[in-house]
Amino acid sequence: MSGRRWSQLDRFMTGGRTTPASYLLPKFHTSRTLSKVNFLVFVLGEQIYWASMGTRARQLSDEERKNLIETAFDAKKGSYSPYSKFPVGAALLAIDGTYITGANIENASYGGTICAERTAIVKAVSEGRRSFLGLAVVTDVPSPISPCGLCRQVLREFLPLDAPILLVPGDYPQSEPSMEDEKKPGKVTEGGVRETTLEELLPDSFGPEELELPKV
Amino acid sequence: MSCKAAGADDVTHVIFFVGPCCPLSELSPPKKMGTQATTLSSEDKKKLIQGAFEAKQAAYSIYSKFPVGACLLAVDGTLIKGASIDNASYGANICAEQTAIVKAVSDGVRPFTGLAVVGPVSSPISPCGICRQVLREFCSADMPIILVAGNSDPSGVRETTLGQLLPDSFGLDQLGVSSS
Repeated sequence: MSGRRWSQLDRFMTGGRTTPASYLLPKFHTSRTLSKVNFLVFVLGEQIYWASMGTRARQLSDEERKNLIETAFDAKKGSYSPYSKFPVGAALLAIDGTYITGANIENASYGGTICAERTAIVKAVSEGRRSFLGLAVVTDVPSPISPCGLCRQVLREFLPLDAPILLVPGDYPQSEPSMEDEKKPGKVTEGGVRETTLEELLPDSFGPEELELPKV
Repeated sequence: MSCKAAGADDVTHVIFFVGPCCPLSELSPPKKMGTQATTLSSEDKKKLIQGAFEAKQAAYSIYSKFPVGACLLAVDGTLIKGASIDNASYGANICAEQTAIVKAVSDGVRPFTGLAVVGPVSSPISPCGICRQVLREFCSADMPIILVAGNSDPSGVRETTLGQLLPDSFGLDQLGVSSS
């Protein structure tokens, strides 16, 4: 099932409790009998859950894109970056329509630093939101800046591989975006935003499926 | 597993250059990724793969049950082995690739010309994003990375590069750009 992921998994109807459905995800990852199934509805306790494995993640509407970018700029204001002097803001859009902000939080013991993207993810997941439609990242640098490898790995656990990732230049919107760089993944879109995906940023990724492969 | 790099058992001293004659270019991280093409001889590849299998034997993976071994080849010919080391506090886990890198760098050994990684499964396993980021600090984008299946099947060897695994990476160059 490598390459296939349940891109959306959430409660179809809520029965009052807030247990997210996606903790069941690993079981579906490894089930060979489910490898040709694209839609599931199942009942657990008093709740009905649904899961779908679409071929493509849904694209963002113009409004969602605009909100995501604005939220990332807002998030950057919360940055604590006295050491790197490199403030970063991130915004996630959850499938329930919630925008979750994240900023980079540094530490005197540099290893304790957490990036903006991971701040947003852990805020969201720890509050029960595990399904996302997109991510935006912005820095003070007047060009799109890519997430680091740690963030790509953490995002890979929760963000669909084909969900849009918007790398926003610090001087957005750029009236004259720089020329397309063919060496870089994704494409330059409105305002100089580089739009890419996790599939492109972390090809051949190591994820839950790999852990479940039969051992030699 | 020995802390000493394989093949370096007879090395009894290490020379450090200090003062104005210090070869800074060797001590500072690579400025640009992908400026020089690197290739591995078939003998080096064989050594790297064998080193990765040996390294895996020292893996401490009681929680993940996913032992991984890695082997780095330094420009001076030193082989540095690393294994995955799990921890009860899962966040303190360190992957095999990172073990190898920190062993080498903390011993003053760098830069590197190749890496081999072997996992416990019958297909080649790719480094995680964290390892890719750590490797990116010390390895060039075109450094060969050999991913080896755990069952020693010669057909289960795949060769890639850091540039392919971590395109448009975040590194020194990005941090150095002046703020708007």
